[in-house]
Amino acid sequence: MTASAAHASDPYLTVVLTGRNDNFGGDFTERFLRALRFNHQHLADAGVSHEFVLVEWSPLSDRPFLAAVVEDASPGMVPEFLTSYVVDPEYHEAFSLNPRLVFQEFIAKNVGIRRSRGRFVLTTNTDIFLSRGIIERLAARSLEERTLYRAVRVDLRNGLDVSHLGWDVFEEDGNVEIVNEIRPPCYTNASGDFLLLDRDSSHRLGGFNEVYRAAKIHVDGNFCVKASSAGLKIVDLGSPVYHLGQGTLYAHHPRYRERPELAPWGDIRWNSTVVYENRADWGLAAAPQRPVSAGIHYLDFDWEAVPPMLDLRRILLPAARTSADSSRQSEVTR
Amino acid sequence: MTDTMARLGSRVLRRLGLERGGRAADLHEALRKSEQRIVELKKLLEKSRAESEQWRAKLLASSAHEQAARKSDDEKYRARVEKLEARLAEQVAKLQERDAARAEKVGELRDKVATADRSVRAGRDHLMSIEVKLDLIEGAINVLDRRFRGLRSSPGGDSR
Amino acid sequence: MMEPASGDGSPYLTIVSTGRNDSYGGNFEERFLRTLRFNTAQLAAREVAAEFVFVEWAAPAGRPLLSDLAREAVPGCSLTFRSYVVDAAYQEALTLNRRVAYLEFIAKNVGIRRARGEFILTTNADVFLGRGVLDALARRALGRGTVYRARRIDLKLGIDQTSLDWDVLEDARNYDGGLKPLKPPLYAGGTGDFVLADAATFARLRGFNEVFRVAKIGIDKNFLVKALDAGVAIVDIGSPVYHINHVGSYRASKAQYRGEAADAPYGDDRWPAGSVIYENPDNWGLADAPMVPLRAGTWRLPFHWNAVPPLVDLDRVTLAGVADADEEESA
Repeated sequence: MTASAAHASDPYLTVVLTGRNDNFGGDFTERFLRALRFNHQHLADAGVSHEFVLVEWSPLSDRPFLAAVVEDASPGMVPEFLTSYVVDPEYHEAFSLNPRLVFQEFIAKNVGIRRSRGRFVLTTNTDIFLSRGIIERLAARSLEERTLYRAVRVDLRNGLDVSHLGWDVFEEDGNVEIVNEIRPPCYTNASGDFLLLDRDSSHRLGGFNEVYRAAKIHVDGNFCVKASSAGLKIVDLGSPVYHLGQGTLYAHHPRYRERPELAPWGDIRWNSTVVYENRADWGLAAAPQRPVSAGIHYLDFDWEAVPPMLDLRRILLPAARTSADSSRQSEVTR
Repeated sequence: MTDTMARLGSRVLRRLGLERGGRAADLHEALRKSEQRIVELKKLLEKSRAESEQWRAKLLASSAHEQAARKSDDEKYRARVEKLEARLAEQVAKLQERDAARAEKVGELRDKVATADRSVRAGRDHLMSIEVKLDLIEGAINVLDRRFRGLRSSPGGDSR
Repeated sequence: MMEPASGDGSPYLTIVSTGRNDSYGGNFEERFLRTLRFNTAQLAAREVAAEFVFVEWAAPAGRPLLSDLAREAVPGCSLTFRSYVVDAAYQEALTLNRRVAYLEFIAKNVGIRRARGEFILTTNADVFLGRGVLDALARRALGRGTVYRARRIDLKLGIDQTSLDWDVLEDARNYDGGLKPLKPPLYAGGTGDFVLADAATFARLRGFNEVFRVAKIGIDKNFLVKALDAGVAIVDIGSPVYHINHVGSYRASKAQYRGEAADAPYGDDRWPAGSVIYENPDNWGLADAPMVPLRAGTWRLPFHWNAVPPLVDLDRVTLAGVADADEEESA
């Protein structure tokens, strides 16, 4: 769907998520459903018209689709509030430039961004909870276009009682384990957990980097560099998002300190300040798509939808900007 | 006062019954001495005046001479000062010229440094870009290598 | 389709450029359309009555014409866009060096010859006009009998072009050359990217050198030498233009041909462009070529020998009366 094909019934916000029904981390589905219900409820209560776009990348053949699990757990969610795109596993192999990457998170997110209907698109992760401040800001409909909004991710300590998750739990200082600080000019650091941008700008940037596929780490930060290079403002929304427990990278990074090239997220040392220009058909735009059931679409494999293995001319240097050095980059909005 | 006048004076005094004979001679003597003294003083005054005129003339002459000498010195000093000022101006001009030349050289060096700095930055940027491209090339080669091996070891593959 | 710029059909300015859809320097089409959008928007914002004349020289078969892509790229623009598609046989007939695959300046002459503007700016299809240049055009501050030059600043190779605006164009951190001022009397250096003069001056000088066709490098500087020799004043307009640096541009690739100048695709840069000038024939700029309308605003120039000058015409080569100025040039 092109950026310009907007409808009056289109939601204000699309939340793009990606995952698959593979029990990642031991309790992936539970964590996903918990965060999904929480965010959906609070957005609905605040009157924020929204949709979730869930991209299921390279699903396991012996498991039901994640969207089907969601529908079972929360009847009525699909398709009214959640649309899912299931991406054929052959795409994973075709895109891969590093066999250690088992999940192309950002290509998957591009599939969702490309097909989003909301005026604003929030790419986040399946275990992220939106804070009160973020909900309020969305409800106020005061977001600006050509502005990339970022939010600090607060990691709460392990072992919290998850049977009742409310603001009292999230906002209790004693429950905070790590605050992943963000700073100007690009406000990176756990950026993949909260990137909020108007859809037109998201499309103009071409989504996340599909040229560099040798790592997924820092692809989110790379997007922030690309946004800055393209002249977008980047601001800290001033309210956090919450994550239960430490992030995967934080938890497992020490294991690969001596051999970073062996990490399952790719080599952390790659130069993510070098930007990119995706092809016009980014986000598997040319993939043949068929409905599976209400709200669930399947993207069949077709080589036509796969970009070249190498397209080195699409590796670019970021443009320096006189205005990007000014204080507007340090703005915190309320 | 003359003797005549003294005698006349005594007669007058006698007629007036104001003076005795001896006393009149004393007075006459005193008067004669006073008159003499006056004459002497006049002479002295004249002499002093004459001397004063002489001194005055001398002074004037000396002053003119001094003035002339002073004027001559003044001119000498003025000429010397002018010469020194000219030399100073010359030195200052030379220094300014050298300073301007140095400033120009510094400016050139600054430009060269700025150019070099820009080149270094551009070089660094391009190097980073090349590193990223090399990452991709390495990744692609590894993928192709795997695929090719997969083909070679599959049942229909060409094995030798 | 764009409308004529003014009531009497004579614009103040004609911008002449040339190119073809051949991926020159990477992605020529993208660079061309990007600068076209930028320049047309800036000119329209300042209400400069201008027309674009684009000469598509020896276009490769089987690919869309850049002229057609250009019209799609800036629909509804108030500036006139005319294009001339020159038969590839002219390249073959005119060249005196097989390595020079694109006779850029003869192509530009085709455009100059057919320009309608009071002033003509010859430039290249990947050049952004600077603010000072645009303001001078808006003020109509140009004088006749004068050739205007502008310093060309190269944006660094491989720069992100998602949003090339003044913030990027005027930030020196994005530059990769062209920072030295142009020097009198010629103000040469990246000349081909900016030569601006009134139409009468171009007509008097008869455009760029069509006699020496052994190289294209130096032809632009050679025009300045001819202008100076003819008593035309040359001045720096006082504002730069910006060029998207790319693989294959002279500045970017000349090191590659050091010591092998004769093999370079722009010709041997050692020819005496600073001292030997020319007198083009009356039919310069393919004036005698037939013109066939292709579609609205686009004409094809099919091949005809009548339009081709002699292979060699030594009488038209003369010595300039001005001293050679050793300046860096561009292709």
